[in-house]
Amino acid sequence: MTARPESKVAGVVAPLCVILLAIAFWAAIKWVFDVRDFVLPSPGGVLSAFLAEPWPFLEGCLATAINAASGFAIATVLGIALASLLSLSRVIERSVYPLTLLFQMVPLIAIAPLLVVWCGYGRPAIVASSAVVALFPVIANTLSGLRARPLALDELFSILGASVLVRWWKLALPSAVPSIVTGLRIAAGLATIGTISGEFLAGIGGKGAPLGVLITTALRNFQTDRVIVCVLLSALVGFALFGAVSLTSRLLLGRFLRS
Amino acid sequence: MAIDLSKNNFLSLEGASRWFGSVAAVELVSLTIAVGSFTSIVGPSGCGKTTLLRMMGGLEPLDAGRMERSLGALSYCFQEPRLLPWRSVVDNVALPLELNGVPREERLDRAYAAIARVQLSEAAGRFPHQLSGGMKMRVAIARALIASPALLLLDEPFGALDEVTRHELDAELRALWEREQFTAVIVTHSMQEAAFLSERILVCSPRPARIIAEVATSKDSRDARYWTSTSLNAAVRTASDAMATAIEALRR
Repeated sequence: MTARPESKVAGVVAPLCVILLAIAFWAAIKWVFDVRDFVLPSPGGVLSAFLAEPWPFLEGCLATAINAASGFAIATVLGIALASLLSLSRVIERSVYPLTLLFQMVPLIAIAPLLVVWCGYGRPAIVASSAVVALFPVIANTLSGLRARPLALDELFSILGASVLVRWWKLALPSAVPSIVTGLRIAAGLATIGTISGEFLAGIGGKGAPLGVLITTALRNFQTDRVIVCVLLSALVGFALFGAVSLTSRLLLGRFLRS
Repeated sequence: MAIDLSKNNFLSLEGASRWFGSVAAVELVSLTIAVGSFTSIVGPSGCGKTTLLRMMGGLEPLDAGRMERSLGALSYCFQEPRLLPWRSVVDNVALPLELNGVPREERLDRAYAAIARVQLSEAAGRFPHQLSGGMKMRVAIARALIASPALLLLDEPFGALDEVTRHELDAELRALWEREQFTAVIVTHSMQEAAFLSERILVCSPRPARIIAEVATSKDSRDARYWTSTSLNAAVRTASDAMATAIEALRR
């Protein structure tokens, strides 16, 4: 099936136009109301702030990407493992799941200082903060996927005399893949948010400082243009992580996703 | 009142009953299935014969009565193929062996052989969503037979297939049974299929299922070619008459 030219226009050109329009709107506001630079720099000002000294930004981008990817990876492994444990027994699930929901209600910004106390400043606390935020959608989606294993196939496995563990590995987990992928997509975005918040609190400055630290530093110096550069770059990190998850799931798991 | 599960019986039910809420699906069924026999259970749609078969397979508990079953591998062929959508045909067929810990190479060899028996060799690498309904059912048959079960339970396995395919698969199934002499029970609503496949036809009443008639088909009818034989048609007529008479008697 080939894409028709119109759909390409709709898919690429139209969103691009909207983005350009948004930038134009931004420039217009700046020009019409004559907003001062430290409140709202112009689009050109932001671009030149980046181009004047791109390396610290790119290094920060890389550092943040590594933090977010690590947090995401931990959340993935831990989330699937915990959800699997919960799914093995109704009793365990009923007793533990409310606690995990409660946990989810705790705003991360309240836990982050504790993470600093436990892990110290630097990468461990940042990765932990990223993992904590990304963990719950993985647990919730994996659990609902594991619970929704088709009854018809469950009976087949009963006839075949499959053990609980075999049933989990060969039936529940594969049939939960679509839900797990949904959870991972959400987690990819949240991992980046958790990373930036972690970096605000636990990040260490200096060479190779992550975007969260660059943001706080720039903010202290009223360099709003640099803040906006960092914001856009952190969005890019989140987008890249999300894209990587989507692409991997589509390439590797295509057969799990259609049934 | 103990059941005598002698060496000749693979499975026996005594007073077996099953209710769904206040509705009885199966009521006071007593029967024995001889080792190596091929039994058909026929009856009107929705009469509870599937529930009866599920009880034999251990998929449905007995609310009353007793069941005894010899040890030995059990295979169940459901009304629907029930394939794992993320597995190719060969991996679906190999699943029972995989769960029994058969090494990969051996189980794939046996899976390819089983697929060849149901004439699906060219589709071995495909996925279920790429198969027609008949092909999926063939895969399910291959999977049910691959582990050489001692007892094969079939729940209208070919009901959704076209006639030509169904006759082919019936003939294949009968040949397999004659060769390997496993014990088989099939639930069907086709008298022809029942007479063709089995030595014994059990007729169920309308819900709740009870065994109201039993017809033995002669060896002769099973040796005949499926559609053309007069003896098969005679057996079909006998079974149909028995069913009609029994249902009539029940109404009175």
